[in-house]
Order: sequence, then C-alpha cells, then structure tokens
Amino acid sequence: MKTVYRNLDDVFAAANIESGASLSFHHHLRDGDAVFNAVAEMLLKRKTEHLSLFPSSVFPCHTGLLQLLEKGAVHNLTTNYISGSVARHLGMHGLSGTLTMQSHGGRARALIAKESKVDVAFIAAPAVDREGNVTGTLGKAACGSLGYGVEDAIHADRVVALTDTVLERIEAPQIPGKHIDEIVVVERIGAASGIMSGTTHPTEDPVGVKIARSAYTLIRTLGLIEDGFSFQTGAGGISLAVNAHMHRHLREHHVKAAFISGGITRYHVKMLEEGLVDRLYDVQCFDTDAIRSLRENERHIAISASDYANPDNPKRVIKDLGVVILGAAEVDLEFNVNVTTDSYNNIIGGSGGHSDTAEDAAVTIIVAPLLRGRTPLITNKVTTVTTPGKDVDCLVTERGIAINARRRDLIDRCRRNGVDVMTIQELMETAHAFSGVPKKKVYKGRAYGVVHDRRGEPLDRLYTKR
Amino acid sequence: MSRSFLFVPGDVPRMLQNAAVFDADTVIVDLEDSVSITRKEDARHLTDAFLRRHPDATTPHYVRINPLGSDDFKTDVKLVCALPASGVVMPKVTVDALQRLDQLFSAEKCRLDVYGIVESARAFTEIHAIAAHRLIKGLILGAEDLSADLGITPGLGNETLEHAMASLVLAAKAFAKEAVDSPCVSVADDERLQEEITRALRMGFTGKACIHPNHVDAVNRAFLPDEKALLKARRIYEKSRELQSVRFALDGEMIDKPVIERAKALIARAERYRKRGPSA
Repeated sequence: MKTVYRNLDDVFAAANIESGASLSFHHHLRDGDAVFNAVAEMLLKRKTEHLSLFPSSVFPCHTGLLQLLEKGAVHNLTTNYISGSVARHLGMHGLSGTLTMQSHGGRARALIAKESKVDVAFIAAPAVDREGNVTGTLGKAACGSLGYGVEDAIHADRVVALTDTVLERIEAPQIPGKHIDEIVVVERIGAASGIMSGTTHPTEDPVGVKIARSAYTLIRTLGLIEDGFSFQTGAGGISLAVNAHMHRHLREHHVKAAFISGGITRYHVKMLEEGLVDRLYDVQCFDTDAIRSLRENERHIAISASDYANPDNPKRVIKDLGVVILGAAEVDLEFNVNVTTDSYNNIIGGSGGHSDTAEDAAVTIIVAPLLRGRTPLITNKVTTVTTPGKDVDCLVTERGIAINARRRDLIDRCRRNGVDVMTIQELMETAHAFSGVPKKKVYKGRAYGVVHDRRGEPLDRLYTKR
Repeated sequence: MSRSFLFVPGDVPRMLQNAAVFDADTVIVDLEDSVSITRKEDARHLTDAFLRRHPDATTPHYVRINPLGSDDFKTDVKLVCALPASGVVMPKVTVDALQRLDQLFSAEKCRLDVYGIVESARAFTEIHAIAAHRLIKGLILGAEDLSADLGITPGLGNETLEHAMASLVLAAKAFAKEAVDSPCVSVADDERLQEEITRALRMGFTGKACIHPNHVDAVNRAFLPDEKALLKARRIYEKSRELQSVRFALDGEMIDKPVIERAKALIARAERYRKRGPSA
C-alpha cells in the first residue's frame, strides 16, 4: 500500500521540494492538464527559485509555467514542444539558464542516461490503485497511452502520482506501482475537452488535399506499400489525409501493414479493426476511439518513449519504420527542416518525434504547402534546424516533389515510373515567382536555448528576438 | 478537349495563386457570379495582374465575363482581349450575345475561343445556332440558373433538366464542339459528385465544370478512359491496321468503321490526358 495524500502541501513537505529542485511532467493530458498548474501553484506559494523543469511538452493551458517564468523562478527548461504564451514569453525574455529542446526519443535517452536528472516526477495518473499501479485508459481523465511518462517514473529519484480516480485493482498497468512513491488524490487532474485537443481530421483544404494525394502517389510509386510494411502519419490534417489514401489502398489491394506507430487516432484504429494493420504501437492517443481501442484491443499496444524512439534502445519500434510522413514550417536547400520556430524566430512547437522518426524511417517524407499566404516554405537556410537534412528524403508540396540528392535510388525510381521530380532549388524558385525573394531577418538576440538531436548533440541555438 | 474546368473567383488572391495546382485541364477565372457587384473592379484589376504576371503555358486560363446587358460586359471583353487569356466563358449565352461579342472582338482586333454557358430556356430554342457559331469551342450547362428559369428543382432525376442536358450534348456533338456538364454544387458530398459524373459520362458529356478544387481529381479520373476500354480500343485499332479492313470480328463481336473511329478517338484522348500527367 502506498502513502496517499489529499493535498500537495504534504507531498512537498515529504519530498522536501525546494529551490533548485528538478521536476518532470508528462503531457498526455495535453491542453486539459491541471497537474502542472497545481504543482506550479505550490512552487509559487513556497517562493521556490532556480528550478529545472522537464515537462515533455508545454501547452497553452500551462499558465502556471508562465507565472513561474515571469517570477524568474525557472532556471532551466527542458522539453520537446512548446506552444502558447510560454513560447511567446521565452522568445521575448529567454531564460536565466538554458532552454533545451529535445526530441521524444532524446528525452527518454537523457532520462535513462541521467543526463536529465530529475528529483521528483509528477505523473498525471488517470487511474491508480492502492499499490500505485497506474493506467491511462481508465478514470475521469482517461487519456490512453502514458508513453511519455514511463521513463520519468522509472528514473526520477522520487515519483508522485496525481490522480482523481483510485480503483481497487489495475490489471496490466502502464506504470507499475513499484515506481510510484506517493499518491496524491485531487479533485481533477484534467479537463476532457483539453485532453482531446489533439483531435484532428483529414484536411479538406484543397491545397492540403492535393499535397496528400501527391504524397500517396509518391509512396505508391516508390513501391513502399507491401505486405508487412510499416508507417507513421501522426495526427496533422495533411498527414491524416495521406493516411486515408493508405487506408483505401490497403483495403482495395488486400495489403496488410505490420504496424503503425506514434500518435494514434481513430483513423488508425479503424485500420486495425478492419484487419489492415497487424499492430498499433501507441505512444500517445489523440481521441476517445484510440483510448477505447487501447483499453480493449490487445493488438493496440502502449509503448514508452524509450521503446518508441530512444536511439540507445535497440528494441525501439521506429528502427523498423518504413515510411514516416512529417510536416514542416521551413525547409532549406540542404533539406534541413524547422518545426521549432517560425521565420520571425517565435517558438511554434518543437521536434516531438520529428527528428527521431526522420532518422530511423527507411523513407522520410515531408508534406507542406510551398506557399503559406506570401511566405515560401523553402529558404536558403532554416531559422532553426529541428531535423537535419541528412535524415530527410522527400519534400512533397502542392507544386511539386523534391528528393534529396543523397537518395539517388528514390529519384531513379520516380523517374522510371513517370513521376516528375524537381530539385529543391527549382521548387524554391517556383515559390519565389509568386512571393518574390523574401528578405531574411536574422535574429541574434541573446542565445538562451539549444536544440538537441536525439543523442544530445546540439543542432542549433535559439535566440531572443531582441 | 478538357475534362475538368475549375472556376476560381477573380477577386481572391489566394485562390488565383493556387488555381493551377489542382490539375484542372482548364481554369476559368470568374468575374461574374462569384464576385459581388462592389468588387467587380477589384476582380478585373487582380485578374489583369495575375494573368500578366503568371501566364501558365501548361493550363489554359479562360475568363468568365459578365453577361450581355450588364454594365460590366464591354469592360470585361476589353480587358480579356488585352490579356494572355486562352478565351472567354460567356454566361447566359444566346445568338445575339455571341454576335455582340464577335463585334467587340473585331473592334479590339482580337479573336478568342468561347465557351458558352447555356442557362436559359430561350437559349435552348436556338441551341443549334449557338453550337454552330464560329466563336464557340464548347457549351457548358448552367443547371442552377436554367432550373431557376424553368421553375424546377435542379438535381438528379429531373426529366426536364435531363432533356436539356441531352439537347446540349446533341447540339455540341453535331458541330464537333465540347459538351461540359454543370458543376456539382454539393461541395463535400462525394457520393452526389460521383452520381453526377456517372450521369454526365452516360449522357455523352466530354467534361464537367467544378466550383471546388477538391472535385477536380474525381472528374479527371472519371473522364480518363478506363484501362479496360483502352486495351480493347488498342486491340481494335491494331487489328484494323493488321487486316487493312474496316469490317472484321473480334472476340465474337462485329467491328465496323464507327467502332474503329471510336477506338481511335479513345486512344487519342487517353494519350492527350496522359501527357498532362496523372491527376493522382
């Protein structure tokens, strides 16, 4: 039986959390997360300073983090993705220490290697039993897979599970009770509407529809769809539209995929239930159908971030990945991709699994509009490197496809099958014919952040806007 | 001959910019119904700038002008004559309107192809003369306005509308012009779009207009000869050449000159569209 607390005050006292502490959080409750803010409230109340925080992602709901930043209480922030007001604050004011942007696999690796040393991990736990076993598929704030919280629970010095649902017994927990030190029961750990904020649909935007169709044509032309192949599309609108093409293709041609990995949506679940894919390896559920499937279908398997993408883990799922479809805010002539900042140097996200899957997948395809309004996708040099060009194979836009010269095999296969391939320079010039050549503003304020590759090597730096 | 005709409002920069990316065989920049009366001048200005700066050699760009009798008719014709446009789409086409257009073309020393939108009961009383007119490249059915004129509800299964469709196809084919079906107005109803396409093919239309870019691919695919039909057409054509005859049996079926001509036309159409590249 674990110690059960009714408030965070007692936990803070028991765990001796004070200035200089290193604390981690997972983001499976996404924009409905109430756990981070509850902890932040305690940190503010106790006037703690010089904190090192390791949230796996930061969402607009994380106003508590903004308050901590405004008070100057956060020294280092290590995360995989940032959106909302925290992103804006960091771009303007930076940090006293360092913002480290990791990939999902890189975060897991750093936790295991103790490069990210966490004193206390706060695990948002949708359901817990008296032994501390945790699952994400049950409870008022069920969110499905807890993949990004598993390594925190295993490797932090102390682990606190916050929950609003205590059950008698949890069979097959995602986080076994042996890793949990304390349980805190609170009124609610998350708001359902925010938890489902990842819910998306295949795009109906005509440009996105065209890009998705071209990406599918490319995948088919390259001969990548065959029995036993695997793919990952994520939950973006264009990616899900590619997924819809794949779904139809598998059904019509009686092909069965071995697995789909990564973030899982209802569209992937449907493919599993129709027998078109053998397994779903789920590191994150995006909607209620995915949560229900994870609970009920034994071929829908929750995996940890390490089993998903840790480069040091030889059993990681994505090392067998055939095709990955990824987005981009910017791509440069070296095929480097930026999904971390926009061209004004504002943080707009981060790698998540972008650089992990790009490196491991046999074929990495970027799908993005060549022009967003008057802003061209392709630039001489991306504002921030999130994923190095050496790991990017194809770029599919509404006005053509470019393939990295390193992949002569793919270029030849396309040409043999009558699919036009442009150089990335030609694609850029096509965009410039409409937009003109944009004047690039170089932001070199104070360097406050670093983008790491999945092995912890720096890829690029982040600068304040002034 | 085009399979798909995509209408794009002439006053929306983003849509003009992307008009050519959807693989429509023909783009129609619209100055008429999709442009409000207060934005006609803006639309002309934007269309002018767009077609001058971004002439697209691979996709014909037509301009739908405002109809005869409107304040904008003459201004639109003058504009189009000065542009690198492939031609004009004339709404509410009649023989009188074509004659007036012809006069304006002469005055402007220009000669452009014209697709006429047949969308009034009166136009159907003179549809053969319209189809025969020297300017006319093809006829486009305007089912919505025609239905309003007739006081009927447009849609599948309306006998009067299907009679009009058949009349348009017959007139166009009689004078070797294109017959283009009305656009599907149900933007997100794929089933309805497919039903309309199937009907258009069955009735002999050569293409279909689109008011949403997401319809273009389905239209292109449908109007591309299917592989089975193409294979048979090739076998017919090859056997006629081999036998040097226009009358023979193939797979138990009697083949004569019209069948061979149809096979040749099908092969030519397939080749033409294949050169444009697959839509998907």
